[in-house]
Amino acid sequence: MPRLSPRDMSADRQRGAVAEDSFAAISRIGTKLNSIWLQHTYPFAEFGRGVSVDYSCDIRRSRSPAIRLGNDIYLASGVWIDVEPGAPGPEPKVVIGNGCAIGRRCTILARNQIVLEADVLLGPSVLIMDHEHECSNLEKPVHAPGFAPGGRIFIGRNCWLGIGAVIACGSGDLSLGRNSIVGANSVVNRSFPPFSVIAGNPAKLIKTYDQQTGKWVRASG
Amino acid sequence: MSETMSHAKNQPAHQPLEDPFWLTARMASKIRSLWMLWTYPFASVGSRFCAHYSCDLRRPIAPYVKIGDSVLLDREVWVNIPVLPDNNEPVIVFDDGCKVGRRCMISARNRIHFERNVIFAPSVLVMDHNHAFEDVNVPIKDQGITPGGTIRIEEGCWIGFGAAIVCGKGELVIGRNSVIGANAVVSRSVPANSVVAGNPGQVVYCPSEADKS
Repeated sequence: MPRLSPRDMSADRQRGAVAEDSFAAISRIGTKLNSIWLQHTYPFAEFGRGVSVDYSCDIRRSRSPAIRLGNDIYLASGVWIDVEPGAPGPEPKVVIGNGCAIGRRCTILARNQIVLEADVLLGPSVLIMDHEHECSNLEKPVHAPGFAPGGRIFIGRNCWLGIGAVIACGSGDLSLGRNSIVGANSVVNRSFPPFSVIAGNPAKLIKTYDQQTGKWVRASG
Repeated sequence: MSETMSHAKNQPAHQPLEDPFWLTARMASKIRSLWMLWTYPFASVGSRFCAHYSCDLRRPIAPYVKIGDSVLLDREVWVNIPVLPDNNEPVIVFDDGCKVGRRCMISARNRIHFERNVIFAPSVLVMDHNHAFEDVNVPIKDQGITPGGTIRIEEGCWIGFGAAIVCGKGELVIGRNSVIGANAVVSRSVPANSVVAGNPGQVVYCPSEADKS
């Protein structure tokens, strides 16, 4: 299967933007300046080479020590990455691997840990959240008592999450194996093995990859 | 518990100044909020109203919008009334402490009432009417909208990411302290303290029923 490396893709994007419309160049400059500003003034745990962060992204300086960004990452417009203050442990809470592309309006909210391995592709409006609001006390408003402890989320390399997908983990570990594909508007609340196609609300296994025949086959049951 | 309590002050409006560039956006939002507070003819508006500068709430609908204290409208929220009513009843009511998340869309024809401390995750849709589509010979965009119903979301509810709350007719009530799961589609009333998930939305947990069994 021919596949462009993320660096090729970002080069494509640049050429397109400059050739099409000179106004697009203004927002590209804004994005470039924002990436440079973040790289040099924010205390990120790691900020790799070739990272492009759109100027409309919402990543706060106080949260950046808990965020680790690998090389050649692309964050599209309106992405929001947040870490709960006072989360336990010193390790980075959001780890985004090399070559990940995060679509528009994606929301990544971490309390314990969210790991995206290399080359994960997120469509627009995806939500990844490893905790939830504390709602066990019925007498208090939901927003008052803070957050439940939650779990950890691991997304294997080369996964693709469709538009509007939700990966939510209330407790324990949720891991999505490598090369998995999540359908549009799916709600994933449990782990799935590598090479699965999952969809629906709640998400179910639709297809798996057969190593012998080299084809995607419909999951039995 | 003390640890979870420390997270409670997680309001974007009350962040300390971290990055001078944030100041521009913060000031734009503050100016927009004050401008709306002073010049928009709201049915009523409480103190500490905070709207992001990218919010879409038009001046003509303001007389039919009632806003309590400490209401937050986050970025790109769209509050809409497609057909202005004849009387002066408020159509969209936010009670004290409602927090409307990013990209939420609220469109009301009859009445949508959010009681105190209702919180929204991003990308929620709340709509009490719909497009009419009965006539197959007319483009749907020219058929107007259905009469619709009314929606009341009671105190302390939490609406999850991407949920859609739509009411075709009658009254849709979401009982107090209910939780609507991510990407759920709710078109029927929900008892108090329940958890709803899926499409179509099913009550997956209800403490009053759990006690009985």
